[in-house]
Amino acid sequence: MIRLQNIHKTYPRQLGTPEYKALDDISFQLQKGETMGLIGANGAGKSTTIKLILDFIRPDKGRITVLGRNPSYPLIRQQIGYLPEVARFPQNLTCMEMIRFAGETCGLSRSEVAKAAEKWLLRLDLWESRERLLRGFSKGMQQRASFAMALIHEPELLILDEPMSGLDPIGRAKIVELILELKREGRSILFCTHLLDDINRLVDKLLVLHNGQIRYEGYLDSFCNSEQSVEEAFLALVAKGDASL
Amino acid sequence: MTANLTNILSLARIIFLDGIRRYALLGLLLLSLFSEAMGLFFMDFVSHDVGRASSDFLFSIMWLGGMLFLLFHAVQVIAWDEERGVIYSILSRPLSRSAYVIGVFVGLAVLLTLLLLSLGLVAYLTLNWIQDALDPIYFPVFSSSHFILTWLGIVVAQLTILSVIMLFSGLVRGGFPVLLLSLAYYAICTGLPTVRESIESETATNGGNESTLIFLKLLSSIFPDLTRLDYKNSVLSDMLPLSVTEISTDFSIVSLYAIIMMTFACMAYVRRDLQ
Repeated sequence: MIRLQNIHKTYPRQLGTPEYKALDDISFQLQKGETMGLIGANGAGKSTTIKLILDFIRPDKGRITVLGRNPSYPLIRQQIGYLPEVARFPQNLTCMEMIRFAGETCGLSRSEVAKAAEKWLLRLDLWESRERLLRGFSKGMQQRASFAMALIHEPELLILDEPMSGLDPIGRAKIVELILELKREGRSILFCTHLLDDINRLVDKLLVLHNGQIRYEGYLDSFCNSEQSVEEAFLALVAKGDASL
Repeated sequence: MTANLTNILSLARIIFLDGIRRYALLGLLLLSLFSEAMGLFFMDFVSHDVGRASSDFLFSIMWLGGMLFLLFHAVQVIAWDEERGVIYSILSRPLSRSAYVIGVFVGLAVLLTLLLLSLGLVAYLTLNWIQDALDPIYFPVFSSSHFILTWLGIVVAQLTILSVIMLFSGLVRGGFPVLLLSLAYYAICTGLPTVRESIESETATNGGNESTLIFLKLLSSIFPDLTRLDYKNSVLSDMLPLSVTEISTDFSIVSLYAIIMMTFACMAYVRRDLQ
């Protein structure tokens, strides 16, 4: 579904900001039906990786293939559902207008959009608020609206950037449950987080990024043993890597 | 092709809806309409040529309303999308970068045209009312078809400025640099014909300066003379200032220029890193 080969990305120097190497020779792949957790501290390169996969930015070197095509090919995004880290919408639109936009751009007819909107907005507890302006939504509601937009076209591949961000414990539990359901349906999921509590319930594979480099890629079982939590294993791995530099 | 058109129209619709619900734009519309209605009082202070003074006043308000929309709303739209991260929600859909630029342009163009349409309608009614209220000696002719031509001239000229704003939005980050570039562009477009005219008359009188004239002509292809589409003097006359062919040529040249600017805007945005 996703293949990154020897990706290098450096953000150029800008006024008041020095040049910054965000990714250094990154290679990995996500197979069909897999759920991969992309974890790392702030500035590790997680968001850069996601932005590259979605063609928001371009690599300096290396090759990216998403669903067998170059990510700049817009039609592949008909099979991708993306949840940004912070949900942002034009503030004067209603939830339903944004959902309609999301559905129409994926080629859904008006009736298909209405049907899918009902399904996902009910599921995400937003049905009653569908005609309210998004600027009046709480952070959690905006995040759920963004989730509905990502799922409206039943995508094969889901890219979730910090899906639990801004959610209260109840909302978070619901999203975890939803991700598990999507995983059971066989969708491929790449999700990026620095909250490690839910990782072992959600992912098959783990990719640990630190300072723009891959520190671990593999199955969760081999990442941490039964006496060690994911968080402890992550901290030990990062400390070991830093000490060897 | 159809999918691309659907995407562009879907984006244009959200740009339009988001814009039309902004209090600042509603305020601009109300202020402009109020200023135009003030034209009824304005004519009381003019002793001669009431028709021309009122017509100039109303078209100036219309132009100013459109320019305020362009400089305080249109220059910000792409910058807002990027600064607030809305761009990630939009471009994660199957929408090419070019479709994004065209969609934003279409949405803003509809808003601008609606604004100018409302102002045009009020201006038309105001001029009609003034003509009816006055003795024909003071306001003998009012041509509706020339009024529409003048209104169209304003719409096309401002859509051309909008296409240039789209280009600048693709080239630089942030609303303020786009505003500065757009203002500089507009100032050059407005000043260049005067400079050309002055050099031309000097060359005709004293000779020389041919290279400067050629340079100014070249500059005019980058900074077009938008006053070519200003026909407001014809509103109070039965005669067109130019032939129909000349008018069609002017409209075609300016429209072609806007299409070229939009092509460059798309090319610039396709290459951009959305950091």
